[in-house]
Amino acid sequence: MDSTWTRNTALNLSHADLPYLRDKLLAMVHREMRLADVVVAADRNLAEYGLDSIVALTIAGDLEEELGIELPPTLLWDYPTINDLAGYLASLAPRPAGDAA
Amino acid sequence: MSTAVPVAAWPIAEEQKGLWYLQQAHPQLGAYNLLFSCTVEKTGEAWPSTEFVQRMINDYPLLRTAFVSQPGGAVEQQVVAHLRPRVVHHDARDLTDDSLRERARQDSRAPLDLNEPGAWRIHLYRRTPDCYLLVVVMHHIAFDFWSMGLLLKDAMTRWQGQPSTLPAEQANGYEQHARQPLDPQRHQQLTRYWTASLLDAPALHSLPLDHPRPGTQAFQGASWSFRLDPATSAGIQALGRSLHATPYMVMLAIYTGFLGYWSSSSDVVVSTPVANRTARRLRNTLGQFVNTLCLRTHPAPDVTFATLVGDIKTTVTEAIRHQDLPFYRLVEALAPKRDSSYQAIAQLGFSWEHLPVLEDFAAFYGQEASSVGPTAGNVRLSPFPVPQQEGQLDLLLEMGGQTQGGYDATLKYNPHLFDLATVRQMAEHLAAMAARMVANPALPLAELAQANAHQQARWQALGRGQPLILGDRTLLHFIGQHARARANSPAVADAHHTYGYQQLWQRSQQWAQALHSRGVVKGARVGFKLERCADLVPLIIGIWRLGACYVPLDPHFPAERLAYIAQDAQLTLVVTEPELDDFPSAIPRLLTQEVGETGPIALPEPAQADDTAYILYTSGSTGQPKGVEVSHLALLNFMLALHDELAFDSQTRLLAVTTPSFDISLLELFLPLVAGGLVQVADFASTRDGARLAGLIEQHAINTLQATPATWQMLLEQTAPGALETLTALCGGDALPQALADRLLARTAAVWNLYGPTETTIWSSLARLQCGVPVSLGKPIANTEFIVLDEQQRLVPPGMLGELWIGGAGLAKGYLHRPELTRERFCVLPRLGTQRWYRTGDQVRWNSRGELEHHGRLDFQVKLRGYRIELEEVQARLLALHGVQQAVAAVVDHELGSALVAYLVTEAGAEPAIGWLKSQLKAQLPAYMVPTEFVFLARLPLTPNNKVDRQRLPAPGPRATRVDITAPRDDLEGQLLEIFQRTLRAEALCIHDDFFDMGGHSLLAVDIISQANRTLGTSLSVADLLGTPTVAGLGDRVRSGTANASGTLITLRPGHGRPVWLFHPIGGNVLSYRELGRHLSGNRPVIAVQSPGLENPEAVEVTVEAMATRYVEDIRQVQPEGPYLVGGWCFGGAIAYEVASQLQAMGQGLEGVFLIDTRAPIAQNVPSDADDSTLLSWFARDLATPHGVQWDLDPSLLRSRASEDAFAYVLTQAKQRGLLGEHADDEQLARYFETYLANGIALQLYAPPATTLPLLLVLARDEPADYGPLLGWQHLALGPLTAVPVAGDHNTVMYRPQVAAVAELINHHFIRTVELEPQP
Repeated sequence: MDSTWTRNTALNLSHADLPYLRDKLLAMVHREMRLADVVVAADRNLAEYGLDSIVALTIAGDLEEELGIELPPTLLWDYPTINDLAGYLASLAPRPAGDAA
Repeated sequence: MSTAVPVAAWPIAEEQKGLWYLQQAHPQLGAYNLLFSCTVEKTGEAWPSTEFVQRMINDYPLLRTAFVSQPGGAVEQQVVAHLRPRVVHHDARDLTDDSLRERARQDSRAPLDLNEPGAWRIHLYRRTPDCYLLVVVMHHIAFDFWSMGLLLKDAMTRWQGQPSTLPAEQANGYEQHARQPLDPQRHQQLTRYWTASLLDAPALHSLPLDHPRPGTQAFQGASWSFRLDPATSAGIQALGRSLHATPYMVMLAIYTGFLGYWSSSSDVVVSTPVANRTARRLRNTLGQFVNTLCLRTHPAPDVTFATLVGDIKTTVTEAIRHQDLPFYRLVEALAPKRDSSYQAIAQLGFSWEHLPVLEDFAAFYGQEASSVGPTAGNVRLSPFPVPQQEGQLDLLLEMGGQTQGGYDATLKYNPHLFDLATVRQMAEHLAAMAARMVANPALPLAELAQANAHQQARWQALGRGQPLILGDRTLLHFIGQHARARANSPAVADAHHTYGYQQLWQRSQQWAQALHSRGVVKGARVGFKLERCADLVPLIIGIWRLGACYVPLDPHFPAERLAYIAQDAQLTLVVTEPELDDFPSAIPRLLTQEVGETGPIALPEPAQADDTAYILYTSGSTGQPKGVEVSHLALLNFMLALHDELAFDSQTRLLAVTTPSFDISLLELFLPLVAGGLVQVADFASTRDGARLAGLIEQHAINTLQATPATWQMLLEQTAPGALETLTALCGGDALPQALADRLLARTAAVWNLYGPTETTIWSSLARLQCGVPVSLGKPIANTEFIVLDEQQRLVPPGMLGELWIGGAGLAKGYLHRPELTRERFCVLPRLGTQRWYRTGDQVRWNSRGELEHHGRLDFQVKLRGYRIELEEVQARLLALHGVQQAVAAVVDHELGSALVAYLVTEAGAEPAIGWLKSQLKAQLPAYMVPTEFVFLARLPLTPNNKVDRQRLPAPGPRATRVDITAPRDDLEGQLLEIFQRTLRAEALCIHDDFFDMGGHSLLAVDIISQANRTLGTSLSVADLLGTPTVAGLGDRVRSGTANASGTLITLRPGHGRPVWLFHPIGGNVLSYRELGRHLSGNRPVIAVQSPGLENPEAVEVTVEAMATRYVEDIRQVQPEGPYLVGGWCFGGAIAYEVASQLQAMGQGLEGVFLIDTRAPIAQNVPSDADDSTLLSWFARDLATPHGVQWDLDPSLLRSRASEDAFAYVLTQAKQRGLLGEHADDEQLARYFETYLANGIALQLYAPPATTLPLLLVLARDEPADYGPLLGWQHLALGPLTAVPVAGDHNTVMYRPQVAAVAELINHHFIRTVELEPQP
């Protein structure tokens, strides 16, 4: 099943903030896990919504391509809630110049 | 090989290498053919165009790719410009769905030749003009299922006339992927992870097999499909959610728990495929990306299911994190001990194929055909699944699809290992376990593995014997009846006396009276220590007529042991002979001579059903024997049950050979009497001598004989082929090897295998053996129940290993004066009611025929040649001896049989002599319990738990002293034995020791024969030694005048059918083929042709052609018509080549020619310095190899001497190196060398033309002499030349262990055929 992600909705870490990331991830999860009518809580383990292996790997692969960075295939088990995932991805964003290290 | 020039080429990818090697090694491999199948029906007027197929071929290079090996070992994928689809048409008009499915399954398994472009083909089965079965077959090396999905979707799109939506650039991205090397740092990281993960994992699973594992894998399989019910399936999903795991992980945990239980192991390795296409750019790429991951799981019985799911989740997650190490690299890194009989690392697999890309086609990969499907153009496609990809692993569970809410599942299994009945049992149990596990995740695995009540009842019913009404009678009733009805028929006899039935009864009266007058009353215990004789039977009957029981005291046991038994049993008296009487004076005795005629007096009440009939003492683990007390009821049950099963009748004439101190003697002494037949009691001496037994069998027209496997072995070896023909053979007391069973079946009228511990009265089950059916313990007898339990005393599913418990009428009362031990072994199992069960300690399983199979012991009780021994008793005795600090007793298997070995750690400075140890033990233990070998250790090897590690006890040395199992029986054997011992430099050989097993080899053989002939004036030949390599065998030949077996043909192994013909190597004798002959499979005769020059120097031929002509004549005496299978080692290969050519010229057919490290007889292969000295150096090398020594003698050293001097030099050197005995016959050896020379010269002169015959060349990989990789045969082979290297050098390939590989190649090429069983 191909993702029909397009450049318009591409994730871009350089101006990412957590709420933005969370929204985007929610949309991905809804689409890939076919949860159209289900409310997905950002702090609940995605497995509770019926995560299966292929979907987990697909989302990890999509994110890898969109962000242009290497992500482990086990991403969704290492960071199993939307909050965890968003937090992790945000931490990978390059810091703006001039920030105290 | 395609002649098209490739337009593109790139190296194969890492993920493809494993499959490439596999297909090369097994050209018939079809287990990795992927299928798509469907019914295609024309719904309109015309068939739509299939042009899109060609367009797809044009668009996707991978459909036009061949896999070609390059010089240097690399493999390339080569793309050709044009390819037409390969379509095979079949007419399937009259086939039913089932037959068609089977046909398609077989056809689709036909291997794909990877050297040809396009590793795929299409099958079209025409059912009606409008309806076809379409099967697309693709090799997994080129496409995985993801690719199959992409291609199918694309095909559907194009078929409907739309443009392809598969972007070509992405679709053809495999080349780029294949060119990417594995990053070395990442590779190292991955390797470290996986080696740590799989460290010390079991190399092979321990699921119980229905059949022994064949020596090589055939990669054939079968499938059994089933379904989990919707509730369980929903439960799996729900549990996944709550435990934060995927359904795949939950199901894998279920499967792992199941495997752990069935294999009684908490360490189980399961392989699983991963799509390995996480990167988005690969999702539209065609190719092979799948990798196999090996997951190490720990389903311990006390782990809860929820915990197991958590563990599996961690294992799977980490595995995926490290998923990019290609499987074949994993195998390289782990370098497990390679065994061609099973897959490396993991033989059990689990796959959860749920690819989104195949969703549209899910119905086509379901379990059932249907007529509902998508329509496109004028065509409807509907599902017609065909089993595929069977035979990759021993057992693979495939899941991923669902039907009406229930998960579909297929167990793919290897039918050479598992029967369908067992697999169905497994599937049923797996489904039941799944339901319990998801409903009770907090319970431990051991409990979850249990069956429900209904299943348990079914399993228990398997082990129930028939009911049989016994009433209140005892054996006395039946014997008394016969005493009236057949008063004068002979009942019991020995060499001196025969009792008719009435006489038997009267004699028992005399005994009863004599005993009674000495104070034997009801309930008393009477011992007897007597040599075997017919009088024992009326004695026992007399004892029973008084209501007393008997306790046999074996005359061959040490006095101390018998005194102990007499004391422990509180014997009222002992019946014995004066010569045997060494009892303490306190014990009353009755001597047989004191029993005489007395007038009839009234006897008190005879024995009743619940009175004790006998007490038999068996080895006890505390160091003293224990008495098993058996009632008349149990005894009668045994007699009546066996009487029915074995159909004994008044015609039964049985020869009793077993000592009365073993309970099986009761079958021999009494069962014929129940039937009104005859018991002939053999004397002790006869029972040790096969020839004498055969004599008794003939003399008394014996038709029934019971014996242990060891005794049957002796009988088969020591009697003429027809001697045992009339016998019904009863065999028991020890494991019956299949080979012995087969021989017994061939030489007797009927064979029964009997099983049972003393504690359940003699025998508890029996099996009538048949050709082609593996040996088993059979089924329980009447009123007997067998159950198989796990360690928690719960019933195990049929097919699984467990401990055998026995219940029913056969149970003994218990152990005399040992209430705690009795309670321990004879217990009530509350879950199974109030009856008692005896815990056997035997590990067993039910096979798919409902028979019980034996799989070893669970404790330290062993059987040695039929004798039951508690190793702990022997250990206890050893420890009690002065100077012994620690002791372990073990049974060690030699080729000659098993031996009892004692491992001792002794006090420093007080090391006892072996002789002393033995004499001490002989005074306390029966002879069979005295170890025959003693090994002194500085310390005992321990496991990490500080228990003795029996696996690491060293094997005793080859020349350890042995007890004479059989000493020489006459002067001839005595002298032969002395010659053997002197030549082999061995002490204490016995007359049945095999010369070759004791270290003998070809030259020693020549030596021994010449010594024998010189000293004894016999005319033995080396062929005689080959035929019967024992003192006993040679002695027989001399006595019967059959010495000096004929001429050139030596039968290394008899058999049926067309022989395998082997030709002598350069030395002229064929002893070097002995090992090869043993390892060739099947039962064709193996006949070797030796040089006539060995016995008659005049008869030697000068040229290879003349030799071959002569041998062809000899061969055709035995096998007049072809096809012939010929071969040889070294020079023997050249002879075989010439023989084959001559046979071919005569118009005879050839099965094949095999050459074992033979260099081709071409001019280039003749060394420029080939002369006598070169040959002498080869001769020297030959002398050394059987000793495992390498002797490279430089020919130039020899050239400088005159020829006799050179030869003498070699002999002296050989003696100095211990390769020849001091007294070796120099003249004999000189003649031997002359044959060598003559053959060497013949070889140098031989220059034959090329041949079209196919040749198999076995290459000794480690041979330093260089004649090129094919030894020059490329110049002579016009037909197919198959060259296979094996380990070893030119000489060592013919000896163990290397020779096994050589034999295997010959087996594989010519002898063994693997037939697939028809599917039910």
